[in-house]
This record gives sequence, structure tokens and C-alpha cells, in this order.
Amino acid sequence: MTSRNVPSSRSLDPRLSEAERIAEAKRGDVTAFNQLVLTYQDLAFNVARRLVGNDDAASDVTQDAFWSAYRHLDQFKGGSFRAWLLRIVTNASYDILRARQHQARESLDQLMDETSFDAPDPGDLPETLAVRQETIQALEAAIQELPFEQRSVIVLCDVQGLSYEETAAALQINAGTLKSRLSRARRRLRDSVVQRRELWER
Amino acid sequence: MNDHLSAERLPHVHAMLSEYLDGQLDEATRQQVEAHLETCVDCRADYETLRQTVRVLRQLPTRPVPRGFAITASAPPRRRALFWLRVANSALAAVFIALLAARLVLPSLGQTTPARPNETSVRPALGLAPVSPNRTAPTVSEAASAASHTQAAPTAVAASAQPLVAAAARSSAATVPSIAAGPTEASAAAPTPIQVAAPVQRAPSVASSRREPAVAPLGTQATWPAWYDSLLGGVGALVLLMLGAVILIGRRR
Repeated sequence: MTSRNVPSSRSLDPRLSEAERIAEAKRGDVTAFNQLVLTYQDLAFNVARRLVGNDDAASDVTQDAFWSAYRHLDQFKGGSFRAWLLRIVTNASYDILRARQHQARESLDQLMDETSFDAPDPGDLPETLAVRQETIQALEAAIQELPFEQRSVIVLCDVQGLSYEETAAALQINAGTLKSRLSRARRRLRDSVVQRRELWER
Repeated sequence: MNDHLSAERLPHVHAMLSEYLDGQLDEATRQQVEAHLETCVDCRADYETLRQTVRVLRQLPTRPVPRGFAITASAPPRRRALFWLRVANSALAAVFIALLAARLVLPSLGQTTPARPNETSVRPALGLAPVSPNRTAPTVSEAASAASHTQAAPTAVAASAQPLVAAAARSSAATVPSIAAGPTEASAAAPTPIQVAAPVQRAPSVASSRREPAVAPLGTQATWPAWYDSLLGGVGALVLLMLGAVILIGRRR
């Protein structure tokens, strides 16, 4: 694989479409690939963070996923690149979780601590009902307690707002499975948040 | 109980609320669900709490990336480096064990084969031997004789000043019954470096000092060279160093 480190004017061209960037990257253009990294690193990191529940591990997962994506770019046969990339992120998250299951508890605490720093100002929320800090924390904790297959559906579909099609593609499941998992996961989250505290302002 | 009746007409409304929320139901089903929600308080509460849950999920704060994840063409990710470090460390550890085993088991570097003819030529001379030297380890009797000598003349051991030899001698001396070897023979044996053998489990008690002249010619270049011990120490240190690095890097992840 030939690789060009020097940014070529072409690979930095903002008018270049994603498909064109992917094609350039497939030819070994690292700069073109890094444009894709810039586009998706926030998404990839935040998905990984919620899947593994820990910032450091999420960084490792994200970096590994981009490396893996770069190496296996020729296996991407079109469709949603975002879904393809998130599939790699999800698999990498699953692998790292299996390897470090025992650290789940402490990472949850870390996530809870960090959440309090960048929670949205209730006044900024579009709806009249303010989302209380406790609700957000309870929900973050409840997400971490979901089984991985339900958590991944919730994170991709609800937290990141991917379509059913993209989520199903990223997780390699069919639409029926996705719908039932999503339904069960949402109910479970709802129940555990309600259980945790009576936070719901009706 | 009207609510209950209508709920039974739509037994799966409960399971469809999630899809209804996302606008994924076909028109007919959607109307059915809506009609049911109008009448059923429980299902309405169910729907409302689900809707709020999803609403909060969509607003969960995202975190900015702690660093850029752009890749460079040459530098492999740390995980990959760690993997190869582990492989290299394992390989090096295997080399170390092999070197150490050779050092402990073989009498000397490149001197194992010449030892055999001597051994066999000696054997017939041992007319009184009740136990023949161990066939699998031809060097056993030599070690025994070495042990007998070192026991008889401790000064000879001190002269040879090889820690490993001394250790071998000590371990065999513990099992070998003391044999009164003549002081003259012991001193004759002293200049010839003693061959190292694995600790003797059941040393034949007949390590006759008469065999000594037959063994002696072997000893001209029989010990392990000093560079071998340096190599052994160096490889061992490197293995430990790499092990430390692997543990350190692994922990930082």
C-alpha cells in the first residue's frame, strides 16, 4: 500500500464527496482517510464511550477502530460509511469489554462523575420540561447496566440518532430484531430510571 | 374496565409503542394505536414515560474527543506494539530457558560427545561396580567422582571457584556417601576443571578415584566459557526488562 503523508491539494478539497475521499483512501492516501477521521471521530468516540463506559478505553477503541478501518477499507463495498465504521467501533468495544469486564463498576462511577460537568443547561432545552441532572445521571447509569446488545441499539439509535436502517447495518441485525431490541431496551431504561428515583415530571 | 377490553383487542399495543414513537408503523396500525391510547390510561402512561425516556436519550451530552485520532502511515497503534512486544518477550524467555537448561544439564559446551567413548572405555575397568552408571546420563559417575573429590579436598573446590560447579558439587555431595579419596589424588584432580552435571539423584557409590586419570584428559577445555554466562545474564536481564515494559504498558491502557 502506497501512502502519501504530504497533504495533496486534492485530498483536502472540501468539495470532495465522502465517496471520493474513501476512494482516495483506498488507494492508500492517508490524508484523505484522515479527513474521514476528522468527520467521524466525535461520533466514534462518543459511541465507544457509552459502550465501554470509560474515556480511556473509549480512546483506545476509537484509535483501534480507525486503524482497523484504514487497513480493511477495501472491504467497504459502499452503503453507509458511517454504519460500516460504527460496526467496527461496536465490535472493538465488545472485544475490549470482554477483556476487562471486571472494570465495569469503576468506569461507571467515572462516567457519572464526568457527566455532571457538561450537562446541558435546563434553560436551553427545547421542551418545557427541564431534564434534571439526576435524570441524566440515572439514565447514563441505566444505559451502562443494559446488556451489550441492547446498549448498542440504544446508543446508536436513540443517543446518536441513527436511522433504523443504519443501526441495523452497523449491528448486522435485521429490522425485526432491531425493533424488538429497541423496544425492550427503552422499557428497561424507563423502568430502571423510574425505579431509581421518582424523577419524572409528568 | 373498558380500557381492559380495548387492550385485549390490541394485545400487542404495548410492544408497538416504541415503533409508534418513531413513526415506524403503517397508517392503519398507527390509527389503531392512537385510538387505543385515547381510551387506555395505563397505555397512555406507558407511552408518555417511554417518550420522555427517548427524549432525554436524544439530549444526552456528548463529550468532545480528548485527542485527535488521525492515523499516521507508519506508526502502528500501541495495542499492536504491545502485542509484538509480548511475542518478542515470550520468544526471548524461551531462548533464556533453553540456554539455562543447556548450561545446567550439559557438562560443557561442545564436549558431550567426546565424553561418551571415555565413559564406555572406563566401564569395563569397574569390575566391582554394583550399580552401573546411569545409561541416560553418562556424566553421572563423573559428577559423583567430582563430588567425592570436592568433599575430600575442599580446597580444590575453592581453587576452581566456579559457583555453579560448587553448587553441583554440594548437591551431589549430599547424596553421595563419603568416599575416602586419597589426598594425592584429590590434588591431582584439582587442576583439571570439574565437569558440571545435573544434580545427582541417586549417585552410584562406586565413583572410584581410580577412574580419575581416564576422565582427566577430557577436562582440557571442559567448562563453559565466561562469555556464555554473560550471555545468559544479559538475556535474562532483557527478559525481565521487557516483562516490566509489557506490564507497564498493559496497565496504562
